[in-house]
Amino acid sequence: MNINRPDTQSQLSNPVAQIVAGTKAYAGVNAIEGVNIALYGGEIHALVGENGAGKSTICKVMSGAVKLDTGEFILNGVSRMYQHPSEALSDGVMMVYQETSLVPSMTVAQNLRLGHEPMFTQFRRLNTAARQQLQSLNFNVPVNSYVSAIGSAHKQMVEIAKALNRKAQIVIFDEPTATLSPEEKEQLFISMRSLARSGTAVVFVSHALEECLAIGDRVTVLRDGVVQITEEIGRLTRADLVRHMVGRNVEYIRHAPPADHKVADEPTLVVEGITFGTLLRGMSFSAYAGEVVGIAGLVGSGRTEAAHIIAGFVKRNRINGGRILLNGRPIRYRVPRQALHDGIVYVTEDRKVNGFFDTMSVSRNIFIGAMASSRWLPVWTRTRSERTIAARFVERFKIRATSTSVKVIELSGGNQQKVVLAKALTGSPKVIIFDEPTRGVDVGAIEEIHKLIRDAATSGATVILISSYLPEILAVSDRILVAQAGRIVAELPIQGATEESIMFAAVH
Amino acid sequence: MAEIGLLCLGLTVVLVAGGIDVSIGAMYGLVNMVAVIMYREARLPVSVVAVIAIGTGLICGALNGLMIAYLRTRPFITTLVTLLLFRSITEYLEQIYSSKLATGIRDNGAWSFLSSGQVLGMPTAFGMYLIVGLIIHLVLSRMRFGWRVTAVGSSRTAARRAGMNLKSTTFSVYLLSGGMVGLAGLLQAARLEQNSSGTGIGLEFTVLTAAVLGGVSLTGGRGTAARAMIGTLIVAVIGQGLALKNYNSSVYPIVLAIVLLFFVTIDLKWGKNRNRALQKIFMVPGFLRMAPIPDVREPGSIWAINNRLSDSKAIGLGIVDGPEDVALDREGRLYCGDRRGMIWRFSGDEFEHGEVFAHVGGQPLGLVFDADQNLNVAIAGMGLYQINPSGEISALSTEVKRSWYKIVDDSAVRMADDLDVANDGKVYFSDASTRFGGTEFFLEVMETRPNGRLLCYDPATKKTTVVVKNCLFPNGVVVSHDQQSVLFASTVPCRIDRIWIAGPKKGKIETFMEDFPGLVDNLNRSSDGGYWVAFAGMRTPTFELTLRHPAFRRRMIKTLPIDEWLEQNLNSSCLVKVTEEGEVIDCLWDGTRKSHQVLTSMREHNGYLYLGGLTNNRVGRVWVGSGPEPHPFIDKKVEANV
Amino acid sequence: MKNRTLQLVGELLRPNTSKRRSIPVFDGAMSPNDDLDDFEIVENAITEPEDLAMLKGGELLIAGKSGIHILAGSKKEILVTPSNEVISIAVGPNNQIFAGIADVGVVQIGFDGSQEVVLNSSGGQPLRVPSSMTITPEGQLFVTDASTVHRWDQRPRDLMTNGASGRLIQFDLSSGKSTEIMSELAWPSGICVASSDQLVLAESWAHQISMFDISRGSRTVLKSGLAAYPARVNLASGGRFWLTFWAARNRFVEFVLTEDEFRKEMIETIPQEFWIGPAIRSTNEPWEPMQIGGMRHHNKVKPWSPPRSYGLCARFNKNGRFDTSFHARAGSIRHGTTAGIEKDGVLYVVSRGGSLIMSKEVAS
Repeated sequence: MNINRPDTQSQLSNPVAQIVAGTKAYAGVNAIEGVNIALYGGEIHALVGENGAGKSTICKVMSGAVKLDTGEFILNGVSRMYQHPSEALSDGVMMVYQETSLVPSMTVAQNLRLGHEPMFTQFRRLNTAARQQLQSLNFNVPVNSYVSAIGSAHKQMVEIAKALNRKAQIVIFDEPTATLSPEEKEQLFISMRSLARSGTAVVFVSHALEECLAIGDRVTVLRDGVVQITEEIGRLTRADLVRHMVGRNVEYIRHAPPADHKVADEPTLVVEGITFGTLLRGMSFSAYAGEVVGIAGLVGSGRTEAAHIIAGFVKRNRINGGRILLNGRPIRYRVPRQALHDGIVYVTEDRKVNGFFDTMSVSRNIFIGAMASSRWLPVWTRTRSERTIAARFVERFKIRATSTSVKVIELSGGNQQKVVLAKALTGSPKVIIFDEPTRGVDVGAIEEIHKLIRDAATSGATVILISSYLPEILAVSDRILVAQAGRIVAELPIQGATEESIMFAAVH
Repeated sequence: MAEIGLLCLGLTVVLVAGGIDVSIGAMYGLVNMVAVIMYREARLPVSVVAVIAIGTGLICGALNGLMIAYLRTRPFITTLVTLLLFRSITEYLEQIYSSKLATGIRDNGAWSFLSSGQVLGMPTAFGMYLIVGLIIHLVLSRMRFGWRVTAVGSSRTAARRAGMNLKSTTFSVYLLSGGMVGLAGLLQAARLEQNSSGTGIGLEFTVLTAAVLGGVSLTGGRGTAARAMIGTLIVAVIGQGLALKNYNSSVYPIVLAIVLLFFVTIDLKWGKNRNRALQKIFMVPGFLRMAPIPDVREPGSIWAINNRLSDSKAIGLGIVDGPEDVALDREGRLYCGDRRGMIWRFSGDEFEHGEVFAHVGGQPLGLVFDADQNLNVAIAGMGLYQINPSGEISALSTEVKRSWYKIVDDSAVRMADDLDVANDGKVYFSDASTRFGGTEFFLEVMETRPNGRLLCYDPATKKTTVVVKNCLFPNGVVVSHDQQSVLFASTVPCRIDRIWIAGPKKGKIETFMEDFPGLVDNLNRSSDGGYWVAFAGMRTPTFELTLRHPAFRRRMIKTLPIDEWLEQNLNSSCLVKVTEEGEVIDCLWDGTRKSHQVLTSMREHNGYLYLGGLTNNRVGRVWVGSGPEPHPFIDKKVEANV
Repeated sequence: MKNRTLQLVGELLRPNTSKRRSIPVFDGAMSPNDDLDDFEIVENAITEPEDLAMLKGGELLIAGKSGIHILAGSKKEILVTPSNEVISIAVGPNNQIFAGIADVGVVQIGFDGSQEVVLNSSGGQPLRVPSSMTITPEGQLFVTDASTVHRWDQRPRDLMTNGASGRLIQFDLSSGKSTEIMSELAWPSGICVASSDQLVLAESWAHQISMFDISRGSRTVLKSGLAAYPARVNLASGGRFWLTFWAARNRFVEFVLTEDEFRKEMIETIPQEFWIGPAIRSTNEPWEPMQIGGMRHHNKVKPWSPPRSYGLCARFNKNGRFDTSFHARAGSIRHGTTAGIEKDGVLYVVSRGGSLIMSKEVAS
C-alpha cells in the first residue's frame, strides 16, 4: 500500500478532544472503565480490540449517542455532555456511518448538499461542483448515481466529503472496512489521509491489525473495557498489538473427547462456496460426526449468516449461491422446519429474541421443542408426557428451577440458555450448530454447557460451535476454523492452537 | 380527469414523503359540498367561494398533518379516521342543506368559466391541472422543499442527521395535499354542482392506483409529478375504454383493483432488486476491426525490444507515484504530476531537491508551460487548470456546451488527458471520455465507443470549443512544428490523426499514422523536426479478437467482476520517434522493465529525454543528443520536502 | 443465444445444477499463502524440468525438456537427451528407469544412456502423451495417456476443445502385455499407487482426483471441484499423497470455455502462444494476455490478481481431505509446479515455470 504518511508528527501540544476517566456500564457490566483517550488534529488515531472491548462505546460517547456514567468528554478545552447526536454534530463531531446518513433515492451530488440545499437547483451546476469537489479529494464516485446503487466504499467517501463540507473537527470511522474489497480499502485509506491532512482528528476503529498498522498514526488497544496501551504506531509490532488484545485470566477446562472416540471418515455436512449478499463470499467447510468444529472469527465474518443458511432460516441464493450437502445429498431449505426434519438444529445466539417463548413455562418450552422436531404431531397433548419429557431434560441439563412450571423468563441467564439447549436437543438432532451459546451466562453454567456440547458430539452428533470467545473455542473444539470477511481463511488443529494464533489468522 | 390528476399530484407528494393519505376522497366530497353551499345558498362572490373551498381543503389537510407530523400518529390509521370524519361532516351538511339546494340555480360568469371555460385552447380545469403539474414538478425535483420531502421519505434518519425539520416537512405535505383537494373540489363543484354526499366515495382508491401505476413508490422517496400525471392518464384511459365498451360502471373498480394488486406486488418485489440491477456497470461494447499487429519480436524490425532505456537515471525515485507527464521551466527545473493529486518540482543539478509545487487533487496528466511560464495542467476528472509561477491554481476549462441531441449530459470535461499550447496562446487538449471518469480509463479501452473529443480553450475569450467530436479515446496532443496543424492520438484504435488549424486545409482531418503495435498515449515534439510517441500498452491478439465480438464482451462484463476482464497488455510499452512525414525512425524500450514499466510520456529538453509513466515510481532521464553526455548523474540521494 | 436463456431458466428452476458459473475458492487447508517462496532451492540450472523420481540409492532423477538428469547430493550429470521431450519418469522395483517421451511412448533408460522403447501403443492407438507413470512392486506399470487426439505441446488446444480423450493403460513389465483400463479421461495428469489394489488418478480438465480399484475396475471420485489444474500425485507419509497443480483456474478462462463461437475463432485464427488460458509461467512480455486485475503498479502485481500461472503443492488423505498446502501466488516465479515427491521427511517440488527444484522438510 502506498500511503503518503507525513514525515513530521502532528503537534502533540493540544488535543482537540479528550475522554478523561470515562466509565459506562450496561446492566451492571462495565463496557468501558476509567478510559483516558486524547485526540489530536491532523492525526489518525486507531482503536483496536476484540469484540466487546469497548470500542463502540467510546465512539458513541464521543458522538453523543450515549452518556458517560462517570468521567468527562472534553472538546476544545470545554467539558461536554451531549444529550442527542445532533448536538455533537453541531459541535463538529461526526460519526461516519456505513449507510444511514445518506438518502438512498437521491444522487451523490444531491446528497453532498444535504443540509444546505440550494433554493432552486440547476443540476448541471450541482453536478459539476460535486464532481470537482470529489475529484479534488481523489474520490472516484460517479456524481450522477443514486446512492442506493453505489458500493459501501463510495458511500463512505461521500460521507467523508460531507464531513469536509461541514468542517468537522473529529470524524469517527466505526469498522468502515468490514465489507470492502482490497482496492476499495486502499481508496478509503487515501481519503482518510486527505481528511487528516486538512486538520481533522480522525478516529479509526477496526479489528484488522493490518489496516491499523497501515493507516494509523497512533493506536489505543482496548481489552475488556480498559485501555491497555496508547502508543505511536511505529513503536509497536503486530505481535505487541495481538499480545495486548488477548490474554485473559479466565481459563476454561478443556473438554477433550474420550480416548477411544472415533470421528467419522466421511463428512456429514459439506458446505461449498456459499455466497450471500456482501457478508458471505464463498465460505466452504466440512463437519464430521462425533467432532466439535469451532468456527472463530470476528463479528461480521459471516459465520451466523452461514449458520442461518444451513439451518434454513434464510434461503440460499439460487445462482452462485454455492452448495450444501448433507450426507452427500444436496439440500436447500426454504423454512427451518425442513431443516429440523432432516435433523439440523440451530441454537440461536440471541435467546431473548428467538430462543424461547417467554410467556410459557420451562416444561412447555421443552415440550414444544420435542413436538417441533418430531415428524407427526399428536392431536391431543398430554400434560403427563409434557412433564416427563421436561423432567428428563431438567435432570440431564441440570436446569435449576424451583419447578418445571416456572416461567422461563424468571430463570437466570445460564438456566435460560440451558432451556434453549434442551429445546433444541430433544429430537436427538444429527447436526447441531451452537451460536454464541454462553453469552451472558454465569461462569458455573458455562462449564456445564460446555460439557453438554461435548456430550452431544460424543453421542454421535455433528457439532458446529460458533463463538467469538477464544477461550471457549479452545476449550471445546476438536478442530478450529477461522472465518474472515465471509470466508474460512485458516484451519487449525486443536493441538498447538493458541488464542494468539487464532487471532492472527482472524485479523491477517 | 383533471380532478383526479390534481388529487394524484397531491397524493404523490405525500407518498414521496413516506406517508399516505386515504382521506382525500372524503375531503373531496366535503370541499365539493361546501363549495356548492357557498355558491348557491350563501350566494357569495365566486372568488370568495374559491378561497373558502381551497381553505377547507387546507384545514382538512392541516388536521391530518398536525396529527401525523406532530403527534406522530400512523398515517394510514389517521387518515382513515379523518376519512370517516370528513364523510360524516359532509353527510351532515347534506342533511341540512339538501332541500335548500334543490332549488336556487345561480348563473355566474366566473363560475361558468371554471366549469366550461377555456384556457389556451383547453378546458379550464385541465389547463389548471397542467400548470399545477408543472409547478409541482419543479418544486419536487429542483426546489429545496422538494429535496426535503424526498429525503424525509427516503430515509428519515438521514434527513434528521442532515438537520432537516422532519415535523414541518411532513406537516407541509399534508397541507399541500389538502390544498390540491381544495382546488380539485372547487373545479368539481363548478362543473357538476352535485350536492350529494356520495361525491368522492372510493376516489382515494382510484387516485392511489393512478400513483402506483405511474411509478410512485409506496415506500417513499421515489416519485415525480410526471409519474403521477402518467398514472392519471393510464387510469383515465382504462376508465374511458371500459365506458366505450359499454361495460357496467361497477366493472371499473374491479379492473382497477386487479391492476393495483399486480403493480403493488411488482413494486414490492422489484424494489428489492432495483439496487442490485442498478449496480451493474453500464457499458455497451462496440465493434472494432483492427489491422494485424506488427510483430515486435521479429529480429531486425524497427520495433524490436531493446534495453536502451533501462539505464536511465532516476529522478524522485520512490517519492513520486505515477508521474504521467513531465515539463521543464525556463530555469531547468523539472515538474511532474503525481496520481495522488499533486505536482512535484525537482531542482538542483541532479534534481536532488524535491518539493510539492501544488496540491491540485484529481489525477494530473498532461503538463505544458505556456509563454508566460504558467503551468497548464490537464487533470483527469477535473478539467484544464493553470498554476502560475507562485503556485496559485485556477480552473481554465471544466465544461463545454452540452450537445443538445445527447441524452446523457456530456458538458463536463471528464478525462482531460494531454494538452499543448499553440503560439497564439490557444490550448488544445483532449477529453478522452464523456462517459468514464479519471482513473477508469481501462473501461474506455474496453468499450471502444467514440466517447471522446478534442477541445480548444481560447484564453482571450475564455471559451472552450469542441474541435473534433466522436474520437475513440483521444489522448496525446501536439501542435505541429509549423503551427499549422494539431496532431492528436487515438489510443484505442492505435492511430494518430492530424487536424489543420490554419492554411488552406483548415478544419480538415486526415490520417497521420495508423496501425501502431501499441496504444498511443502522449505526443511531443522532438528536436529534429519530428515527434515522440509513447504507448500506454501493447496490443494482444486475443483482446483484438474480443473487439470483433461485442456480444462476448457484453456477457463478460455482466458475468465477471471487473478484475477478471481481458484487456490489452497495459504492463509494458515503448517510445517511438516518427518524422513529420509519418515514418518510424527509432524505437526505445526498457526491455528489463526494471526502471520503467510503462512509458506513457516523454519530454525532450536540451538533448535529454525525460521519461514518465502512469504506474512508475520515478522520472527517468536518458541522453539522446549527439555527442557525449555533458552532466551524467552521480546518483546522489534525493531529499524531499513533503 | 437461445441456449443461454434456457440455461439460465434451468438454473433458476433447479438450483443445484448450475454448471460452470463459478470456480471454487482456495480456503480451509487450501488457503493461499506464500510458502513455496520459502522453499530451499536444490537445483536451478536445469531448464524446464517436468517430472521427478527417486532411485533406490536416494538419487534424484529429473526429467524435462533438456533430457534426464541425475542429481546425487551436489553432483549433477546428464543421463540422456532424447530427441523428443521427456514428460514423465518412474522407477521400477529393480531400480529400472522408465521415461515417458512425447510422441514416442514409454522408454526404458539404462544407466549407460541407452533407450529402449517398451510401449508405444495400446489398443491400436499410439501412446503419444505419457503424462505420468507409476509402477507397483509386482511389476505392473500404469501410464496415463493424456490425450489420444492432441499432442503434448497442444495442451492448450485440448483444454479449449473440452478434450476428454485420455486413457489409463496397464502394462505388465514381465509379459509385455498392455491393456487399456480406462478411457475418456479429461487430460489425466497424475497416477500413483495407493495400495496393492488401488491407484489414485488426477485429471486436469475435470479438476478432480479419484481412487481407482484395479481388480474391480471401478473408480470413485475422491474430490472434484478443485480450484486449480492437478498435475502429478505421489506418496506422502502416513498413507497420504502429495498433489501438485500446474496452474490455477481462472474465471475468465472458464467463461471462455462457455463461449463456443469465440473459442472457435480463437483456435482457428490466433497462434497458440497468444491464447488465454493457464500457463506454466507468467512472462510479463508485451504480447501476454492481461486481465485488468493483473495490471502492475510500480512493476509489482498484487498477490490476489487473477492467475495466469500458479504454484501449488498440497497433501491429501485417502478420503480426499486436504490438510496442508504450499502456494506461490501471482508475482512469484515459482509457478508451474508439476511434480512433488517425499523421501525421508523431505518434500521435493519441481517448478517448471521457474526452472527450479525446491525442497522443504515436512513433518508428518
